Amino acid sequence: MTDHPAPASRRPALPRWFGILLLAEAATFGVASYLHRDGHIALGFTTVTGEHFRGAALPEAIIGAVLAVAGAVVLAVPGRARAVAATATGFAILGVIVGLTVVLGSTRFGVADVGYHAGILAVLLGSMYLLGTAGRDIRPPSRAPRRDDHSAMPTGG
Amino acid sequence: VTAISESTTRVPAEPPAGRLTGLRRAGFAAFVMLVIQFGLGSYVNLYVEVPGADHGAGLPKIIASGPVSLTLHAVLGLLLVLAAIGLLVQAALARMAGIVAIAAVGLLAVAGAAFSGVSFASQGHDSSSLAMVLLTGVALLCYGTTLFLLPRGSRAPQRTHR
Repeated sequence: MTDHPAPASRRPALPRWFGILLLAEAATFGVASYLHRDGHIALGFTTVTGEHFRGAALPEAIIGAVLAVAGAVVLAVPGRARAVAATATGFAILGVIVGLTVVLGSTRFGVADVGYHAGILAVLLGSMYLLGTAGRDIRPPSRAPRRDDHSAMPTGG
Repeated sequence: VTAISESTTRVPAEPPAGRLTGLRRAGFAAFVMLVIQFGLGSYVNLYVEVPGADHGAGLPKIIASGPVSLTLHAVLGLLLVLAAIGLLVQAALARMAGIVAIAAVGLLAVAGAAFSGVSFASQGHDSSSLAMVLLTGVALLCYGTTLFLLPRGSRAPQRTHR
C-alpha cells in the first residue's frame, strides 16, 4: 500500500477564520434567542430590551447551536469540515427565510426585526460564497497526457 | 520520451465528476420545479377563486384551508425553497464560487416569490402577483445560467486507438 497525497490536496482545509465566522453568526442567534426570552442587554449608553416570544427563541437557539457546532468542527478538523459548514449554513439560511416570512407577514414586528433577518441572511449567503472560494486548491491541467507512464501506452502502431 | 513539466500552467481544479453530476441534477430539478410552479400559478391565478383570507394570514393557513391547487402551489413553493438551498450547498461543496453566487441570487428570487405569493393570497394585490411572476423569471434565468455554466466533466476521457 502506498500513501498518495492527492486526497489531501483535493480536500484543502478550511481556514480557521471561517470557523470564527460561524461562531460569530452563532453568537448573534444566541443573542436574538436571549432577547426573545425577555432578556436585557446593558450597553452602557443604552439597554436593549427584549420581549417574550417563545416561538422565535427556540428556533433561534437551535440555529445558533447548529452553527456553533459547525464552527467548532471547522476549528477542530478543518480538513473535513466543509460539508458540515455548508450544511449548517444552509440550515441557518432556511431558518432565517422562515423567520423572515413570519416577520414580513405580521405588523407586530418592527424595522429592527426585518433589519436583523435581512442582515444575517446576507451574511449567511456571503458565508456560503466564501465557502465556495475558501481553500480552493490549484492543480495542474488534467488534460496533459502522462508520457512518463510507458506501461499504459498502446504498444502497437 | 520526456516527462511533461507540470510547473508552468496551473488552473483551478475542477470538482469531481460525481459532484458535478449532482450539481447538474439539482439545477435541472430546480428548473423543472420552477416551470411546473409557473404553470400551476398561472392556473390558480386564472381559474381558482382564492379565498378572501384574513389580513396577515400566513403560509400554514393557506396550505391548510385553501383550494387543492392553491395548496399544491404553496407546497411546491416550499419544496422549491428547499431545492434552492440544496443547490446552494452543493455549489459550495463543489467550490464553484460563480455557481454559488448565481444560486444565491436564485434562492433570493425564489424566497421573494414565496413572500409575494403569501402576500397575494392574503391581501390580493396585483403588484404581489406581478412580483411573483417576475421573480420566478429571475430564478429561471439563474438556474438556466447554472446549467449553461456547469462544465461537462462527468465523462471520463476516452483514449483513441488507431
